[in-house]
Amino acid sequence: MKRKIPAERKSQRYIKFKIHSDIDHCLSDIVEEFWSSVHSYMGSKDASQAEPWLIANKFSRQNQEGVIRVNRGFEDDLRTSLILIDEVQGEDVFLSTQDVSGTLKRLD
Amino acid sequence: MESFQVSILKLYDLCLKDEDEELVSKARELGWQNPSEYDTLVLEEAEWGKIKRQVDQNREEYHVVGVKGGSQKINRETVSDPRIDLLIHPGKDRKDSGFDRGTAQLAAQNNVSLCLDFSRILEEDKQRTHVLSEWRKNLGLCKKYNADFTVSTFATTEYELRHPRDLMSMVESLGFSGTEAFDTSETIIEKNRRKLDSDSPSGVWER
Repeated sequence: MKRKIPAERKSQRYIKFKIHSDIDHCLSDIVEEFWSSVHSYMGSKDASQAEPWLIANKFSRQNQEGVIRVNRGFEDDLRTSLILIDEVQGEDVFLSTQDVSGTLKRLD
Repeated sequence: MESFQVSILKLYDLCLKDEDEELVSKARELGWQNPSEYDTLVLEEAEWGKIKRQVDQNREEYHVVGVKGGSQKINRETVSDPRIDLLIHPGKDRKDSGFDRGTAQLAAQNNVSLCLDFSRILEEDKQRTHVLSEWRKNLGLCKKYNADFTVSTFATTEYELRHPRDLMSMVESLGFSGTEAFDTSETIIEKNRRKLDSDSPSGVWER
């Protein structure tokens, strides 16, 4: 498929987050809670416009950090969805945003 | 060359308790100002008379005095008393938000700020929808009548804490200015700190 020219591409933001918990959580646990929270706060309609995506290869189990990609303009909604997560696999947890950037490279 | 003055916003969680050391250190790690630097009194009574008595006795010992609302009388009396800094949760045990046009106008006149209690939003989903819709209405009235508002986590454990920038995002996601919320907290602390520290007549809270 031919790559779109820059003007046609959707501008995206990358949100780096940290998980605060007593135990280390794996990506699959977070993905489940993440989608549940996104649907609960933003609803299916807004979520479809925001197109949030948890980038699997950027998740660090050791540091409990990860990166989410979202369409520009939905950063605040996504950050709010993240702070509404208070439990993962029955364990108390909270997520905080570390950084927001327009490129993945800057988050490294 | 023109010089620019950059002011850095101090982030205060006005209703955070400083009794738990773990909670305080986590709050500081997240970027909140140290809650031990200021004292907050949150009053929750069913009768206005009791609240008034406690305000009379304690105003000069605390940096922040907040009242948990609920009944129409308490909400109205709270925003009519300039010695009180915060009206918290005016819609408690009510079907409506407890914050109407008159309350917003009085709050603006007497410099009483509306305080959003984030811990309420962590409750079950059905309740969350109501809380968000209530907040949106109340913030709309604050904006219309120039009343101040702020947001606090009311955290009792470290898992109820949130990053201040994330709380700003939440307010912005509702369509209002997040910076304004934290600006209000800073103004309240700075203003009352000056009053508590000074012996001059301007340092007196007037009824």
